[in-house]
Amino acid sequence: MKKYINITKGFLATLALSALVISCSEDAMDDVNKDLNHTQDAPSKFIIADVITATAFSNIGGDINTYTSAYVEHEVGTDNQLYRAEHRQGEPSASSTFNNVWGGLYGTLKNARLVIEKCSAGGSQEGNQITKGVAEVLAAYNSGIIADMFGNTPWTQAALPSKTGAPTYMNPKIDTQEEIYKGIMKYLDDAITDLQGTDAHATGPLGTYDLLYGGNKAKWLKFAYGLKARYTMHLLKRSANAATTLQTVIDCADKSFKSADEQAAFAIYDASNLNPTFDFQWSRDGLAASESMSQKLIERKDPRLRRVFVGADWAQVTGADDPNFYMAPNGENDQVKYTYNTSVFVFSQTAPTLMMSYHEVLFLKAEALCRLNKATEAEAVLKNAVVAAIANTENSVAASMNAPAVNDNGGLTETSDAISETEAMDYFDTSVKPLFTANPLKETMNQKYLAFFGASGESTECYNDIRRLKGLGENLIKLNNPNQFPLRCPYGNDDTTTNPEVKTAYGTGQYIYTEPVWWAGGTR
Amino acid sequence: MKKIALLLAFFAFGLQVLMAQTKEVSGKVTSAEDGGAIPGVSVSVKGTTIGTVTDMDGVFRLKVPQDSKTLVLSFVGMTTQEIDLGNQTKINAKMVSENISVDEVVVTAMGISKEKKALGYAVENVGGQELTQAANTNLGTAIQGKVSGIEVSSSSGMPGASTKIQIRGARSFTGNNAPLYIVDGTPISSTPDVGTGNSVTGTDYADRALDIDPGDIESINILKGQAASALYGMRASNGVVVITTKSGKGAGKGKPQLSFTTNFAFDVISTMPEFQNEFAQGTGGAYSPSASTSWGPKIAELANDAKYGGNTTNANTNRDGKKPGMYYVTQRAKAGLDPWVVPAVYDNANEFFNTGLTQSNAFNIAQGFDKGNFSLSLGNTMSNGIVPSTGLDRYNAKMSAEAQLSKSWKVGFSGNFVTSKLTKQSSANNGIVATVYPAPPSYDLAGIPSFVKGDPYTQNTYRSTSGFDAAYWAIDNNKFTERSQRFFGNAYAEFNTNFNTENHKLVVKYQLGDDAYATNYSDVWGYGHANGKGEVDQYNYTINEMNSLLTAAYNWKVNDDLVFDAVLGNEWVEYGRKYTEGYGKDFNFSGWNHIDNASVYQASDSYRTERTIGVFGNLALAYKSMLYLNVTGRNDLVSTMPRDNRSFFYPSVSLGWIFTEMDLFKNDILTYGKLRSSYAEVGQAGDYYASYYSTPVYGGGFSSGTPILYPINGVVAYTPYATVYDPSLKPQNTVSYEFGADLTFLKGLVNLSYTYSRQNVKDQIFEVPLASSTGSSKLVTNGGSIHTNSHEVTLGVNPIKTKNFKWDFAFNFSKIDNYVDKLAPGVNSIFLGGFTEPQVRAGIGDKFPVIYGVSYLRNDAGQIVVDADGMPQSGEEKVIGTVSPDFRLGFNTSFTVFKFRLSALFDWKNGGQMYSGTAGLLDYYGKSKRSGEYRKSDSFLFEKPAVKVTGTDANGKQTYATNDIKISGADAQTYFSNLNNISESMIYDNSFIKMREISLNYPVVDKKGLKVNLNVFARNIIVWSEMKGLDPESTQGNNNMSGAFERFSLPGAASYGFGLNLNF
Repeated sequence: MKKYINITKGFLATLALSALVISCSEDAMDDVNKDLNHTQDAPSKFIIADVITATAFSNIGGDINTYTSAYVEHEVGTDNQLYRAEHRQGEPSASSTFNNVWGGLYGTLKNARLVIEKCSAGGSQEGNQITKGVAEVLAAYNSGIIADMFGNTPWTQAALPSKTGAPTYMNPKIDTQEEIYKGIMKYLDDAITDLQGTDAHATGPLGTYDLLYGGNKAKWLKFAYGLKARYTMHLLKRSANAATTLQTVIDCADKSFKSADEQAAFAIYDASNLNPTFDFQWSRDGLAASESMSQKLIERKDPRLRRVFVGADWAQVTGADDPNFYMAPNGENDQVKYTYNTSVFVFSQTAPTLMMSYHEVLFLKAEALCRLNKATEAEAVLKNAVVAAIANTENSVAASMNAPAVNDNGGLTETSDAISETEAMDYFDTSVKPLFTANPLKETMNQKYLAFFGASGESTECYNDIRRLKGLGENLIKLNNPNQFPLRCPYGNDDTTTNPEVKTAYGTGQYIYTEPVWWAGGTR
Repeated sequence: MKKIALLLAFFAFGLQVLMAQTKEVSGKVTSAEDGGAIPGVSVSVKGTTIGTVTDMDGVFRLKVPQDSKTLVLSFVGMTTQEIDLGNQTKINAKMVSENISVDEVVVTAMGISKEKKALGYAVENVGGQELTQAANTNLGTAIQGKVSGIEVSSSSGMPGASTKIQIRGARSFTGNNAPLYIVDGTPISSTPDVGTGNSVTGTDYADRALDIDPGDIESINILKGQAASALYGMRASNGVVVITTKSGKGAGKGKPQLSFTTNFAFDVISTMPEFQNEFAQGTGGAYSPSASTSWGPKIAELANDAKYGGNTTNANTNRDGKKPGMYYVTQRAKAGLDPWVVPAVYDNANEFFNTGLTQSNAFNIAQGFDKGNFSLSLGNTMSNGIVPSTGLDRYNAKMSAEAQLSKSWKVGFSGNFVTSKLTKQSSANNGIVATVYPAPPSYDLAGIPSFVKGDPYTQNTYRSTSGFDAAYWAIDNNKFTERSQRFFGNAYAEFNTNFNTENHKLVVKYQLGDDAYATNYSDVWGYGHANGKGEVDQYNYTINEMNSLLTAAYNWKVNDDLVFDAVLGNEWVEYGRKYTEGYGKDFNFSGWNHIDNASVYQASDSYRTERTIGVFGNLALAYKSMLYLNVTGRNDLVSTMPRDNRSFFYPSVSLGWIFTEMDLFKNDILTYGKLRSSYAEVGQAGDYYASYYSTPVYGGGFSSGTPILYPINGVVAYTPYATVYDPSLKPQNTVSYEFGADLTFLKGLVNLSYTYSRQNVKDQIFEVPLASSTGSSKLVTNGGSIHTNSHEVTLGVNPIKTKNFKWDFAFNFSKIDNYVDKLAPGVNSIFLGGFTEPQVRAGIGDKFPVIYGVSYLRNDAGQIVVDADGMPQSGEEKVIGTVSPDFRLGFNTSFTVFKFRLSALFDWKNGGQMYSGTAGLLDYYGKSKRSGEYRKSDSFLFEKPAVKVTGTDANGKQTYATNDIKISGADAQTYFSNLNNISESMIYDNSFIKMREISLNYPVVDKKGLKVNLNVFARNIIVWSEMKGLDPESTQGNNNMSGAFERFSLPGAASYGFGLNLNF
């Protein structure tokens, strides 16, 4: 009997002890729970690759650009959500409308900040200054979209990388747009410093993971200056000294792109990776050609008129006298697909998204010069801008004519010749110059407006221009839509349902029709 | 039940044979009521430990000392008898049954057997015979209606269709609510490997309870409450199904006992919607050869159609000449048949379904030895479903044995091997039924080949096949299979001692169990699917779960009035799951639907390990067979929780008081009465990971495809995944209270049992949507609470109990109300499945779950408002239906007349609603009988009480009057089209009464050494429900949305069959 008890005792004791020692410690359990199927970390370049892609495809070229293209009358919303947006029913003030891009912007900003953290002092890739600089440019850019679209919005407590992944602040507080702009400028200034450094960490430089510039730091530096010019111009109304501000714009523009080859063009689109404007229309068919856009082109005898519209039969419309010329009246169109003309750009499957274009930099400089009453200087800059803009238009038209998916379905019919550089210059001299002479600022802004019409994702910045001009009391661009103009985008419903401060700020959402953003004269 | 008693008796006496001056006594023990033999009766010499048990024929043989005076016969549930031995060597005794519920022994947690009267909580038992009386080969549905407090949702009548078993409601919104299955002491997996997700496309996935052969089950004990299952810890928060399989423990010594059972069953579709058979394919009254609708002309008028009629001048008759009385069918032309036919009516739906056949065989051999026993079972089920190409082949083998090595040591093992192959078809929105039920009555679905002539891969049917494959084409070209191999079993060693005392006993047992299986899934959409080039997905799960269990049970009879029991134990569970997947699409050429023929490939792989270590203890005190106190505690350490948050302790306490043991309450009416109460806490662990990175995926929103796909120019990105994990995650906790009473009247004539239980579940773990300004979208954290009230009543009555006629019946009643109390701040609802609209969700304050979708437009007074044409209009999206029933009632009865036994089981579900897309769409398509009748009528009114707008009052408010706007029969298509936009119009009350089982059993031969039983049975042959023509239990999903949502789901089946059982 005793023997059995002893055996039992020994057996139990051994088992219990071994179980405790081997299997129960937190380290042992951590080992068991180790996630072998995913990585818990990745070097910065793998993150940057998507920060660039998400910024270009989703945040710049995506839903905000689609809706604002209707607001600024580059396009007309003609079906479902875009039709309602065109008619200012529901969509412009609904918190669901921009929710995807709301989440996308903050997610991208978080990833950019994560890279900055990794490449900063004490981070895991300390010494990769160029990578850090790139991340700073992109953090500034995404913060810019956030501040420009939503005004006062979560920022300092939002989009923070955390060690565990769980948010540091479950309900990030709202910051003023002014605060966010200070942050944007700081990011850009830091970037300008960092981009003059090196990537010294063992993980190496970005190389091909930089889907924008292939690791060319000089181009990133120019991009940073370009953005600084843009955001400085945004703050003109809030500037204590307009002349200094405008000079800063000019100085920055001068340090920015020297040609279209240097512009920030996200040019990876092909048969399977799609230009976002094309992706929208190919999926939804929600956009039609804008009557007010055609009027501006007709008024100027603009050669782009024969290039940029396509009939329901997919043939390029030669002009206002083309029997198929059928524009959708802004804000007064019917909800109907495949009926009105569309812009040619909705077929531009492979046209790059311009995160910032060479022509934008030129337009910024031209505007600054106009405002400083240096019309002669401005005219030369503007001429370059218009020629560059038309070249970009032709680039997108060519993308439409060669779009793989469109060609699989028969393709577009091109009915006119491309606009050559010479023709563009002639156009400037004959049509633009008289208008410029009459009102330099007005024509500069109108030409910028026309330049931003396309497949390059520039309607968003056009929307900023229009609001900025309204804020300055300058109604230089004529819009036809008789319905009320949305002054901003509503917060996303991921926050209006969960984040109490945002929920309160959102209210019914009707503020988007009444309250301009801070840099356009508003208070929030 | 008897067999468990037998088992105990066997341990107590069976193996102790004393060699002394002896004589042999033999005899047979029979029942005083029916004269039947009673196996397992313990026969012992009074005052000694000499004894034996009767064999399967009630026969015993015992060597007793010459001077033995009295034999004691005892058996659980029977009155113990003492027989004066004298000089007799042949003793035939009759035993009288006593109050059955009093001394019933049940297997509780951790294999601890206890007298049922000693429990402070409710458990319920289903015997093997009861389980298989109608030869159901699916364990899930075999339990249906037989136990209170448990809800079984079946998905369809297909072989191997998933069933969801839920005990006392849900504790988790999106996670696991399935009970833990314990087979012969080893926990095994019972849930599906693959969830059906939103459950609106694709196929069903079998749950792994499918691997258990009901034919090999001796008995099932269901531990319903948390107090009952507390010893199992975290995994048992949803209750436990304790399954005891057939073993050699009950087999008598001597020759082996063999049993063989075979059953044949024929399956037919249980119910079919009523269709119109007058109107042809088309829309707006005109024939259209590719319309999905049947709103065309009268079938008889087809020959007069302007474009396709043989009587008219048109392109077809110009080419082929006039064809009087005929019409041109383009699909016949494509298939290479004569396109001109006389219009006819086809019964497409009935022609499509097969008569299913299920054949099952079970063989068991068992033998007892002096120092042990063994049992071997072999079983197979072969089933062809009512949907062509579906079926199940399952083979089960089991071996178990036990050996008594010495007085103190015993060892044993049990091993099961199961292999199965399941073939399935697609269900739901664009599943196979979606092109069968709506097929126009004018179209010869079975007669016209489903592919064009000379090209078997280009589909040809009555409608476009871009999203809906032609039904006959699909069964030939789309293949969905699940192949599974599984081993589960355990080996154990047991030591026991009484320390050479009379009143102390210690049993120490170590058991090592394992559940290992591999399931290979193959989904093949053939070349030509959706007019594309097909795709194939091969995915495999390999799962191993090792279970080490050490228990020590100590029993001390302190004195005559007080018994003390203690159990201490340790459980160690090691789990590993390997997943691999190979996906290919766009086959290079037709005719070879294989992954090696794909032009695009993707592969993925994952491996997950989990460990749980539990330490538990149980203390029990019994006082005077009257008061029973039981206290348990268990501490679990789980790997799947965050560091430093892995250890959890859960207590339970229960008290049972048999008040009829007190003289004060002793009477002849209420012969037994017990009150019981319990309190328990138990948790559920989360599935915690360290937050991780993944390659971003683009799509959704306005995009109809994948607009951006990594690698881009060879570059792959990795960013933090949008779902993140809360490092302070704690286990969700269920606190439950239970009160109940067990009452026996008139010595067992009536048994009544009632249990009320309340569960409060807090800190539910799920993916809580985040403010996305945080940069992440979901956080796996503790974020909700839910509570359940449940009432369970069982009533058993044995009104007639004579030798040749017996009748008993029983009811079991369950009312389970599950309410969502709280969700994380800002979360208003949780999506469980369905479409964007309608969908199944959980919402605060609602019963769990609810159906949400577009409602009828109503005015402020809540009245439905019709438009100027009398048509209903779409209103807001809101809760449009509640799923859970008001109550369920099972009724079973059996009559025994001479040797004939007739058993029947009815199941009544009262209340609860579901979304039935099929019913609504058949109206919309103009295929239902109802749509045909509306169309033929002069006019009709919108069926529901409604109001019309009459104008506006002085305050500018609309005024209303009762709707009397008649809709012309000619507008029926518009009417049903309007209804189709209002999901609320497709919400049906799905109360039902089903005759689940009826069987007649007759022992053709009943001789010693040979018994032959004949059995005739039927299942689900009577269905009464408010949903006409559809089985109210055929629904989508094997997850928490199941039972709520139906849209061209695979149908239910009714079965008829017969069986034969041989024992020798």
